[in-house]
Amino acid sequence: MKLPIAWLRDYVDLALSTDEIAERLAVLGFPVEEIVRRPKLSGVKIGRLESVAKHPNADRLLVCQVDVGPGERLTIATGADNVAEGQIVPVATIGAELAGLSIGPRSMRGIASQGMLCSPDELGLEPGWFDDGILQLEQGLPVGADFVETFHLNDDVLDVEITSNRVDAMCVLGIARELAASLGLVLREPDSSIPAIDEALCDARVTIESPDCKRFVAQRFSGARVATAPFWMRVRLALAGQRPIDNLVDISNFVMLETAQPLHLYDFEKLAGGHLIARDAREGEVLRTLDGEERILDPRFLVIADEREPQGIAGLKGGVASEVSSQTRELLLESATFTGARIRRMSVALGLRTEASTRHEKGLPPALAVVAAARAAKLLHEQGARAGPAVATGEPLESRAPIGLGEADVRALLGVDVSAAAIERALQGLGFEVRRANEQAASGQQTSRSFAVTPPYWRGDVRIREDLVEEIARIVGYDTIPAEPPPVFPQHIASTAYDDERRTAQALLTLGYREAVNFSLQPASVAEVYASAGIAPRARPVEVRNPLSEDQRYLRFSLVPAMLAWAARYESAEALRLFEIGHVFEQGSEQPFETAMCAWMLVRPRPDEPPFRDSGFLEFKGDSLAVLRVVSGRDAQACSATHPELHPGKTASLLLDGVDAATIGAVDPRLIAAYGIRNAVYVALARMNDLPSYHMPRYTAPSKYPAIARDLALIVAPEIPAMDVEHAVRAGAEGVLAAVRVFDEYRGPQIEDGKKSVAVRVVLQRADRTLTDAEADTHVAAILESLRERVGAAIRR
Amino acid sequence: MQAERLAQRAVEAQLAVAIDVTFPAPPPRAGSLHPLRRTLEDACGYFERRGFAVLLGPEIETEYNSFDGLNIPADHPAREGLDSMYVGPGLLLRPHTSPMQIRAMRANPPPLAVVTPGKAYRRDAVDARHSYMFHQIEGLLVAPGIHMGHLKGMLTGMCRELFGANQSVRFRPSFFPFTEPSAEVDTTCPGCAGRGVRDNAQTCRTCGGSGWIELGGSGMVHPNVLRDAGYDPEHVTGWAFGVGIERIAMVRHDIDDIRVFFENDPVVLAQLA
Ligand SMILES: [Zn+2]
Repeated sequence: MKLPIAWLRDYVDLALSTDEIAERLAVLGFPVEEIVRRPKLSGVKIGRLESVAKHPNADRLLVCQVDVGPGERLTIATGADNVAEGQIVPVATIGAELAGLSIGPRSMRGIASQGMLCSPDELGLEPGWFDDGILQLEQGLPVGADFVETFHLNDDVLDVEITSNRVDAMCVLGIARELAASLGLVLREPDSSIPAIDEALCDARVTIESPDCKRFVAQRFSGARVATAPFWMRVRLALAGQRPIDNLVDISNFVMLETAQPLHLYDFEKLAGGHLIARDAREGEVLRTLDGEERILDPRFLVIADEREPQGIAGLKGGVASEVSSQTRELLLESATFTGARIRRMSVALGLRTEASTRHEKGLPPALAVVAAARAAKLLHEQGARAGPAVATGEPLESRAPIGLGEADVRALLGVDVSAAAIERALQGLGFEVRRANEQAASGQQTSRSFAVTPPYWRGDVRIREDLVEEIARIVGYDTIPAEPPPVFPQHIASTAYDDERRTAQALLTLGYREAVNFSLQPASVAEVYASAGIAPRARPVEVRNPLSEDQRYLRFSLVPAMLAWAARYESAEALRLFEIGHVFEQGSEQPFETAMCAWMLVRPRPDEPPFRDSGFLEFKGDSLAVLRVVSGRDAQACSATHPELHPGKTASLLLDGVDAATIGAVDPRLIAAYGIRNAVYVALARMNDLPSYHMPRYTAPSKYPAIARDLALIVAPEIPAMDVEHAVRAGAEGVLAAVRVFDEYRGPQIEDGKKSVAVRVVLQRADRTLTDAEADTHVAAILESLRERVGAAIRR
Repeated sequence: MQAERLAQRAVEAQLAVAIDVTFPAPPPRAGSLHPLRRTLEDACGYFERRGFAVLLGPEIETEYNSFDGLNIPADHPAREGLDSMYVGPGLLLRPHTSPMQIRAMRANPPPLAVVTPGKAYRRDAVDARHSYMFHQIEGLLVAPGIHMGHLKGMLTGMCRELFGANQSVRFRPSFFPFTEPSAEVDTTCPGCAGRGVRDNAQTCRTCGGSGWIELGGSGMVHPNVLRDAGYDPEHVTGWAFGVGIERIAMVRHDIDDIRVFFENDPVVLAQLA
């Protein structure tokens, strides 16, 4: 909201700089988003044109004699064509500073011009919003007075953010009230007194047919003519960002910006039956609104209609049919209160937000309607209108029950002592009525005072004790709240999921993986790429019902696509290791599900190697086993498995106690092709909720006696996995086997067809004594026998 | 004697050799946490050491936990700032981590001390300053005798953990339907040590010259929220806060574009590790 400091001064005497005012507003909870600095003008006086004559030497110039105060008359030449004798205008004298120019003596075609008549833009005012040519002021202003000081034109404008609970502060008066309370200053309420009400001027009728019109204050006026509004009003509106139109429109805008209550003026003679009805629109009713749009209405909309048709959309926009024009003589003023939620829904449905609707939708206090009408009546009276009585229709005003508040409540919530006097001062300054209740003895000796506090009508947001404490805190200042350590409370809540994430992330980073965080939403194209690669998605994707863009339509079904996108972009010869922990989503038959997953990926160049070998896979398997070792404290076993995103022949389950802890593998070559990836890519997937629990590793005393290692070269069928070979070795060497490891595999010319050769290192060791070579030979013979029996292995000669 | 001399000569020969120690080392195989997790862990760690539990929760939430249970009924103007993405009737991507307050209170009797980090989503376009997906850390302490000074104390401690020993915290009045009184939380700008200008006399671009950076919202848990979650507001009071992780991480690493976090460029990940 644009808040001209010049306007604030109407209600409170501020002796603060712009920055100090902005700082104070922030402290009160109204942060200033922007300070619009006004040009610093000086040397401009209010002048009267005594005479206007043609310049003797120039057709397009005029020479004016200008009265700028007692005994001061200036000769000023001007090129403007809107000047005439008797006008009151701003006059820049010699030495004046204007917006972007300084005024010195100058000769205009032989005439020494002693100053300049000012146009709006020279005064820092929006050019199109005021008179073309020289700015015209109204009669009656003090000739010779300082123009800039009279209208506080050098005061800056603040763009203030108002929280949605404070509709009462969405106006200049509301902010002035806050500043006055905070600074301990007097608030000057605007003048709403008019000398006489014409009681006979009561020929309007109002009927409320919808409960969403809570209150409707109607008031008749007669005799006002459309004209230009006085400059003080125009300049306030303009600085507040509201374009001045004419005196009548300006008055309704002025009162809204001053009090927060939107008003509407109807040409009374155009209202059928002189009767306004607040009702739901009928299906298909049409209304041309003031912005020229033709609106087709339906019962969602609340309208203000005459006896024939809608004349305006309640709280949003008036209609053209009863618009005030230069022919208007009879006026009807509407000052109404509507259900905020209804106005908001209407605003959304129409895609239309107005200054009026932003206030109405937050729920204006019903008691404000008559206050604002009275203020408008005062201003219309100044424009020559006779006022009829204000007639209120609708719900009676509710009187508010006081809220109980104890001194101790303030301390309990804020942690700081605020004296009873300070509590009273803070609340009273904001317009709350504070009565001291009986003093109660609290905790033995100290007395804690308590109060019965009644909020003013404009503070519908204050309902409970805690609301009052916030008001007090705002006035005494949030800075008085101390920074204290709280008492520590023992917790019995386990941080299991978080600890799992940390352990997993820690394990992966130790192994050289870098964590990525990818967006959870993705376009349809991700699933389409999968489909085109022939990879059937595991589940239905979860669709966002109201996406902002197509890029944000689906929740991700897998962590893999974002990783593959990086694999495709990655060109370096060095390996790339990434991981991510995040949720994936799938649409169930009833509702969507989400699963916390961890994925890690290795990207590396493809080495030149035979097809039965994949050293990248083995490297990745090593990393993955190490991750699970850190996470679980145990060594997992790999066994062959499948996964939709992984190569059917290069996928393994990593099992811990027979339970699948992670699935790892080379990415399906069809996906690799679809993503245009040149390197080899391996991915592991683990469900965070199925992560194995950590077992503390147990100690086994290492043998003190030397070990004997033997390498065995075996011929086996190609389908025999290394794991089975190792099992067979174990079975044949119980009690003396320190380690077994298949370390090479070979297929080729030297091996007979349909067989492969594997090399196994066997380490034999006893815990109680040194093993002899002869004993080792015996054990090896037993191992070979077990190998022959269990996996059909023969010794390679 | 001969052998000894030979050995000595060999040692001398070794000692005579010098290598170029400035020759670049091969790149180490180094992993890293994402800068957002790192900031999140630093923040959570501060609270964990003071007895808070860390809870994670779902990203798809009910409308009730996201709004109604937080004292934000339908048609409440505050819903406007929480423009959400719906994935089913009454189901949405949580627009803040605040639903975890309700989950934590429903599941545990007081005294309760938890922090709940996680992702949140709002219907927003992505640009240098906005992202529809972002991370928050929510804190909640409910017990007898808890007041707003304790909130300021803990947030001051958290800021010192995240930015350095000289941080202070400023509260500004604000409005959140689920807290009363409510406060915006600012902390001293680490980019300029609160002076508003940097060492080169330029206006600080981190804080725009104000000397403060905005962290998020906080306040005393609204009695309606306590009551709805089964707590008795006559016996316990509590505070809650929610701060944005991206903003904090941007200040810590001097990043001026939020998209950097979600691009995951390995070069940048290495740089920020
Ligand atoms: Zn700064």
